[in-house]
Amino acid sequence: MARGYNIWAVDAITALGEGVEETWRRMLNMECGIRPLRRFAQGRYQTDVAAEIAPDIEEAVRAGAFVGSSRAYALALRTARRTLRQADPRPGRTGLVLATTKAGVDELEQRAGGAGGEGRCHYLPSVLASDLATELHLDGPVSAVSNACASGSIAVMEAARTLDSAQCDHVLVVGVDIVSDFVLAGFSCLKALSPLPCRPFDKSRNGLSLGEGAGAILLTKDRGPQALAVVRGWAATNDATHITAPSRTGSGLTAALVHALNLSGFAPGDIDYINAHGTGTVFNDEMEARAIHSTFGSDVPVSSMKGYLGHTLGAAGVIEMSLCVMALRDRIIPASLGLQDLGISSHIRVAVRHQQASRMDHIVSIKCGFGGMNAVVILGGVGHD
Amino acid sequence: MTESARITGCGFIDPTGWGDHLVQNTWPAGATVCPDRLAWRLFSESPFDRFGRLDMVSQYAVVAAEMSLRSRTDTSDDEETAIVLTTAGSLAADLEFLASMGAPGGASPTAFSYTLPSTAIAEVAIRYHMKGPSLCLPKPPHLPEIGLREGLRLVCRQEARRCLCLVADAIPTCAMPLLPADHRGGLADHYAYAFLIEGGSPPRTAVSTGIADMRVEARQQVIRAETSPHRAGGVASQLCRFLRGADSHGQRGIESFEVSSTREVLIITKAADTIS
Amino acid sequence: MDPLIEQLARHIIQVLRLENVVPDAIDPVAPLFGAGLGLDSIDALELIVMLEKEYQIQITDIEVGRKAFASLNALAAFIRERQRCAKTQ
Repeated sequence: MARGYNIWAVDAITALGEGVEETWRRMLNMECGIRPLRRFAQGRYQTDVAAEIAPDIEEAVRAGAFVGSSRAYALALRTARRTLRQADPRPGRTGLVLATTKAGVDELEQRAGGAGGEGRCHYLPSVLASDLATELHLDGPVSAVSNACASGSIAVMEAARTLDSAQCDHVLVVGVDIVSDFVLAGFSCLKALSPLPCRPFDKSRNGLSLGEGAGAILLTKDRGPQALAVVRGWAATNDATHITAPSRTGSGLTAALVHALNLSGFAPGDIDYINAHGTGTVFNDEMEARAIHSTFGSDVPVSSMKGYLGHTLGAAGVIEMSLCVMALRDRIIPASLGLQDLGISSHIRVAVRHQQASRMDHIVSIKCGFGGMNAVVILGGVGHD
Repeated sequence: MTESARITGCGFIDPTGWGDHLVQNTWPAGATVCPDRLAWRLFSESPFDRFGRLDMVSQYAVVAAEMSLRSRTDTSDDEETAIVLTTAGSLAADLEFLASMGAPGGASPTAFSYTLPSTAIAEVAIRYHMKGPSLCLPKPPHLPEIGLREGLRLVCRQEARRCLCLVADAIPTCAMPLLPADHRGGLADHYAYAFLIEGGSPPRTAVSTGIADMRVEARQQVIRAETSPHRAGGVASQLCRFLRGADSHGQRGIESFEVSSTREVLIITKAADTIS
Repeated sequence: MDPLIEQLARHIIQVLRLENVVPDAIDPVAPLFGAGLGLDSIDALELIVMLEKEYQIQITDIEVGRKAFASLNALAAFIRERQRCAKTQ
């Protein structure tokens, strides 16, 4: 495997604000972005809370896209523009990989509901990706990844593979997903939502909280001073057991963790922080803890970001990876918001308070998804070859 | 790095029928339109009790996978993976779920489970124990890519030893108005093609010589990606016919098949009849 | 066959899209989940929707659901009990 892929620029728009810096600052302030539903009816779903984009940011996001565009497109466009501005000028060709589960599902709700007429069809990820690339004048290959909640991480892997095949010089990875009636109704009928803000790894946890947002990472082969962090390696596996539930044994995720370490030449002891998937469901957190313990024992600090941002579905891999860049820079292990008492049978070290790390060279990011998807990405700080 | 692999299996289901690189079955009573719900017993004697639960595009994907895998003699789960390219993805299931949202009793959990385009590849992974890195890549229909390039990257990087590369769509009539105008019409709205590829290292067993060899070459000059008014199934169906030994004109003797994109061409040549 | 049991069997076959299964073939005392019909967690949730739609019975506690769906007989008894309670209120 190649030595690494530089992260030149990052951005995120989340329930905690616009920008990775703003989101990270508010996370360090232990702010929770999961709030009473603002754009959806209370009392209709299994929960009345979600992590929605704040109204003032919503307005700015909408203003940047054409009238009537899907919120997903508007968010993706804004975060992409903010990221590309950080990497300008940019010699060579730039490609795009979009990560999303339901893309512009708000547009589908309207059109299927009889609004009729022609629309942009941004509920099709390939169309949303194509329109984004055209609007941003990107001249490299364009693709979309839709691998459930592991989409964001897998999109980063696809971007790296694209760079390796010399199709272009940089790849912009954009992850986006929105809160919608469709997804609220869906997770409600699966009885997977927590009535209150989610509590990853806690013994009282009883479901996930939905979140929305968009994140972007610009990946490049160039070596140079502009790198914020480096993608050092990855692996993905499939449990091959069930279309929604994770494997109870965690063997698929364990295999992904072990492969990622082996293929990148790292030992478990080289890892300083694990950014867990940590959705707050009984089964995910239990399975994930088991896999982490199998691979790393009890030594590596772990936390989930979902208590702050909700579960941003296909965007999670990109948004949370951009925040891991902050963690590497500041050498801070963020607390797992919502955790009071550990409620998992495997002994892993979940951070209940922010910690200054004495060493912060490498982070493992875990994202899992419906359909048995397990995705592991290893990030390194700059200057650590 | 030279990127090459062998094609060791091929399966399809489309308006012409279903089968693999050796055998083609036609639809009963000469029907030319694929049904929108399939009956598993038509395709295989091995049991699949819950096939009826799968959404349409998952049914098509699994049938094509079944066709492509039925002649293989060895199995290996953790080094094997499946990827799918799809245009409409879960659109049919999305509409079914939306309709159920207002129904008495509430929204359907089963329908929701299929409202991800990646559920089709999950069904393939479950049935055939494929534990490697699955990929679902939504794509426009007019591009020639059919998953082989992405699969080739995985096996050449040794992220998987074998990769089942699928392209699949199942678009009911009611969903047509929801597709962009340039996505409508063309060869077929219901199809799936599967090509099993294996990494370039020597075959494990004497019998797995493969049907064809595949390699990628950079183009000498940049050209526009060849577009076709036909759906993605067009290139895949032509490749199936090529592997069966006939080109689109039904003539034999054509020895190589190309899948072109902007800067690269995938060159597929018939395997020599030798056993390692 | 008890008419409610047969009706439930038909609903289950239709709602869960079970192929090659006729109502008579579902043993009323056999477990519905695990072995046998091979039903899983999504099927359990789908049956909860069916109960509400066809019998206007709500299950909000998954443990209540687990007991009710233990077998066809258990489900019929559960429905009859809930309908009886509803009448006396």
